[in-house]
Amino acid sequence: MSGVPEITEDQRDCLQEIVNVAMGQAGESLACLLEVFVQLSVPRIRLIESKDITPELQKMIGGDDAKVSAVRQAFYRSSGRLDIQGEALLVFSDTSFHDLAELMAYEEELTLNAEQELLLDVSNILNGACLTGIAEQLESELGYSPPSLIGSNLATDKILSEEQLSWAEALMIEITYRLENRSFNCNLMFLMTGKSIRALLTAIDEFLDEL
Amino acid sequence: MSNATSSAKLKEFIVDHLNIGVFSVDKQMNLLLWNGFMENNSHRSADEVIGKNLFEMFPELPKKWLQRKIKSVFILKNFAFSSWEQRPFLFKFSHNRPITGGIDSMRQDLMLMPVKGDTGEVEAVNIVLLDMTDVCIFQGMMAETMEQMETLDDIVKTINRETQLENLLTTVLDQGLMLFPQADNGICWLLDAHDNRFKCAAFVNSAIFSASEFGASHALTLDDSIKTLSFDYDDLVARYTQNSECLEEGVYILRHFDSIALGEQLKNIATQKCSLSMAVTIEEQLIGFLVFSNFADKEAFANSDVQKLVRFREHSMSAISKAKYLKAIAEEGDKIKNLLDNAGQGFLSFTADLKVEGEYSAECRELFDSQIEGRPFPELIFADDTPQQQFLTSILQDIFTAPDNNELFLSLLPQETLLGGKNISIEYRPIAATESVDTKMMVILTDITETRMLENQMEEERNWLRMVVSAVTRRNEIARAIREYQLFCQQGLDQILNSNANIDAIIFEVFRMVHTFKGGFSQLDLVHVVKEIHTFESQLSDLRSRPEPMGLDEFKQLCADAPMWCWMEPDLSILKEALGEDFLGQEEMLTVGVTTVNALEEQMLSTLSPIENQVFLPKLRRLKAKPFKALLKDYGDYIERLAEELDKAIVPMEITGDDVLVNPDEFLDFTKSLVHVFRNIMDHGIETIEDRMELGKDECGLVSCDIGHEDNQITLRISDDGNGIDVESLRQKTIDIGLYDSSQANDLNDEQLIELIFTEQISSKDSVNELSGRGIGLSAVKQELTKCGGTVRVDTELGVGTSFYFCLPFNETIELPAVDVELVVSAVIDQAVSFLTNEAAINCQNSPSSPTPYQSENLSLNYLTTMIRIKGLLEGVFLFSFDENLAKAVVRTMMLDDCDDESAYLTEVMAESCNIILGNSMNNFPGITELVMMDVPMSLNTRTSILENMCVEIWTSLIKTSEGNVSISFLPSS
Repeated sequence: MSGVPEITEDQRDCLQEIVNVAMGQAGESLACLLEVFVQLSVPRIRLIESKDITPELQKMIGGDDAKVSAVRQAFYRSSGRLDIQGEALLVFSDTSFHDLAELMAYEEELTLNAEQELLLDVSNILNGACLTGIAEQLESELGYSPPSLIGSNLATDKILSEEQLSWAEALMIEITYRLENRSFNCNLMFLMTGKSIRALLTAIDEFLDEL
Repeated sequence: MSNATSSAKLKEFIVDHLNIGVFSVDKQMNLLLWNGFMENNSHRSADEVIGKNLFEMFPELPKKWLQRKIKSVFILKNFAFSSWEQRPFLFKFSHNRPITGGIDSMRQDLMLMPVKGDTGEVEAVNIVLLDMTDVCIFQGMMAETMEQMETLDDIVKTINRETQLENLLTTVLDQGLMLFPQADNGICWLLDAHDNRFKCAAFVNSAIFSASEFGASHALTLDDSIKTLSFDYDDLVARYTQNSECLEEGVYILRHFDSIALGEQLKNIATQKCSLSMAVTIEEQLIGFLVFSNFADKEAFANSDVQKLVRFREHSMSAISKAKYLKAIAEEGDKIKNLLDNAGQGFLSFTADLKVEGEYSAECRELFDSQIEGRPFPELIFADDTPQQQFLTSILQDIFTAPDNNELFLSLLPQETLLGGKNISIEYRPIAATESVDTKMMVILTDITETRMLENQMEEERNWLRMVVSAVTRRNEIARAIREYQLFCQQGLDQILNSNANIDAIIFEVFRMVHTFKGGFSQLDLVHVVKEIHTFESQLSDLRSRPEPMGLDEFKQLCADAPMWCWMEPDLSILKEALGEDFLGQEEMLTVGVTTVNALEEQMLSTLSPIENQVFLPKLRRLKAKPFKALLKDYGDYIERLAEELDKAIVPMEITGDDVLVNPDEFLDFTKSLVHVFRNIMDHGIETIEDRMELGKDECGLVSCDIGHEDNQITLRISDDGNGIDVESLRQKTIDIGLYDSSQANDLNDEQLIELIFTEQISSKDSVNELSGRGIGLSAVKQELTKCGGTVRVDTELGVGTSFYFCLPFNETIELPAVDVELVVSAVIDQAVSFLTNEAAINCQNSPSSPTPYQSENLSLNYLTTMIRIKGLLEGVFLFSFDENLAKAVVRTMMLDDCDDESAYLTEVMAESCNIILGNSMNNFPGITELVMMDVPMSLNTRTSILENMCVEIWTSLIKTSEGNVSISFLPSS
């Protein structure tokens, strides 16, 4: 059962533009908070089938035997017309906790717990910075669940197991964050399924109508 | 409208009574909200902390860390979180499992949420604190169980690698030495059945041990020589058991044993001072000792080490048992097989034919409930599951055919099964072939039911928490989802089944619907119903892939047999239990934030005409309304607390009377000031318990509060049955403080005197004494009262009590105030003069005439004109038209840096200046400001042009300055 609607050229362009603007804002606020220049990739938006997600992840991160840390966080509508819910998935590779701690002005001892806390904190910030911007443009606000650690030192094929995915096709917005002069690499993916995609497209249509 | 009010009430109630902490801070880290949970746990009341700096009130908080979190919320307008798993707690609160918890303080999850103001900027951060102690305790229990199993596993793993008994025992000793770092060495004595003597089976020196301490002659040969030692059974048993102090079953401690008779050979090295020993027994037969010793310090081992040894003994004994069994398999020893029957685990083995061999431990009989010799292992272990049997068979066959490369295959073997309702873990140990024995697979079965149960219990607990929290935060969504589901179960399903579509389409549609519900419910953490729906969904999915088509009736029956609505029951009852019967029962409420209402209001003002606004605005504002009673509700608790402090007693205060809905903003300042009235009643009005009894009054004082609503006013009566005000003392006091001379004072009637308690002189703190009767801060009440246009009257009778009657104007319909155009225009002109004089330092030469309206078709404009349109109560356009020189002069003073070319900034600066002038003028009209909207100012180079064809009233006035003139005009919309 697909249930995933077609995305028209206009809708895609508009969504791309909205995400671009949100990214710009995200970069700015991150720079302001972390006092460091954040390099953001141009966001990629596409529909993806559940069976393709692990190969996609591997392609994104590179190397079958790369070990990564992964965090997930759910988001959902809290007010406004953008009636979506979905999950953000953040994959950290080549990330130095030492650099991360410095970045977050974390001055306590770097225990395992502290490392996990840092990962969750950074995830929450990267994730929120961008999603808030998207929602704001569509005159909505999102709520978030606490981020949770999928695992550290994971092989890329262990991040998501296909059997656990209850959807067939999802909309994926993919962004890569890099930090200047720091060992830090984060792939951020927002994933939404059928009903939320429809809601997103409706919101975009209204947005377009208002222009 | 009443929904919104009761929604607000419900929210307030929930926030205050929820077993979750809620507090908020502003940018300066001052506390804005502090709910009941925080009050109870911190033992600081909201009154105490609100308005104070969070870190000053709670200096123990991790300031840097928390500030960083909060800052991120302000900057990113985003949520932030913290979990107890990484950071156990923010506030060191005690928790509600002080007895059984084993945890020192409450574990806390935090959620930080932005609170946005009208402009979309984050004005405050709301912090939610969840008590995660229960989850933490359960996880702790789990971890401990797992750890115990792992330690054992570690030993078992090393043991399984070792085929030599000596190596095995060495490993065990190594582990022991790690556990007891103060031990210099560890030794294992085992009984040799042939001569009934104990022989050293393994000996380990710890790293800190220096052989030279023994004296040179033995130092080099100690390890070797010790292995040649042997002791008579009775001697050694006597030494390690009877002569030692037995602390727990099988565990002994021996201190300072120089005087004990030892075998000859050991005397030379018997300088040990302290030994900890454990008996190794199998089937209650003593077969050896493990001994850890320290040579120097007879107090080296403390009694607390005994507990460690008891644990270690359990693990190592079972390890040694297993090892012995492994050894025995190779040797085909019957005896030792029996030893294993005690190990509490099932051991069995099979060769390439996969049939269970003759020797297996007694536990296996228990597990399988039958004789298992000769039966194929896969059939035993997965009795009812043919596919699993086939799978297991094929992998095992692979292992036996390619024994060298079996790592991979081993990892594929199923690790767990269900036997007779028990969860059994399965471990596989391949045993390589030797000359005499074929390759074997040894299997160890362990009952892990309890572990699983614990895991499930914990999972349940987590789900419960998740569900309840989710329900509280997303009540409407949950209620809606459940209602939709109910509708589907009651009607929707039948409609699909009875539609004219073909059977495949019907099945697909049902599948699609239940799948959607599943997704929705799982997002809302309603786990039980999700599980049920998932099972049903799998059935449907199987149906769809089934080759033979299904009849409609058969499918209808299938759906009829599925009690879909009942699946909701477990989740519903959890929610009802945790949050009350009514939680989901209520009609859906529309929750609208105050900010949204304010935004709506603004939008209405700018788009609707004043007359339309007159109709709709009051309706909208009612959304923000609260019952007047709610503004007073905290005083009941407040005076009870005061009573306690003052050793007085009062009947709990009841607030009676009409339920009047008011805009809280309008009355909040006043109701807050009433604290002085209540304080006075408790301080001076109500007598102490003893005094009251003496006076023949009930020992509990009575304070009552009654609200009335009549003819556009609210009346509030606050009475007590206490002392009353001593009017004569008041009279004396006015003389004492020099307010009046005695003849003036004597002329005052009671009413006039009582009036004085609201004046600064009488009510101010430093002049209060017991004679004044009442006194502190009542002037503040009066002040607030005057602000909202109210009045007060006091009735008092000495010894009987006092009543305060407050009367507050209240227009339910909210009539829009009328605007006097002339006043507004005059205010703008005054403001312009003051702006030019004070801000731009320009001399105004005339005091401009008060504006008068005149009818004209045209209006002359100067060099540069700024227009500002206003809407709302007053509609029209203001025109500020400046001479060139004056405009440039203003620009010069307004620009901070010197600028060469004022004209470049002319339009911008003048627009800004006029905006300030008009904005400031509007501020002179409280009550109107928020009803008048100013558009963006627009400046134009008008170069003495004329505005024509207007045909309206024009209000205009000219200000002359040293730099030139400015004309200010107002053109009302027709």
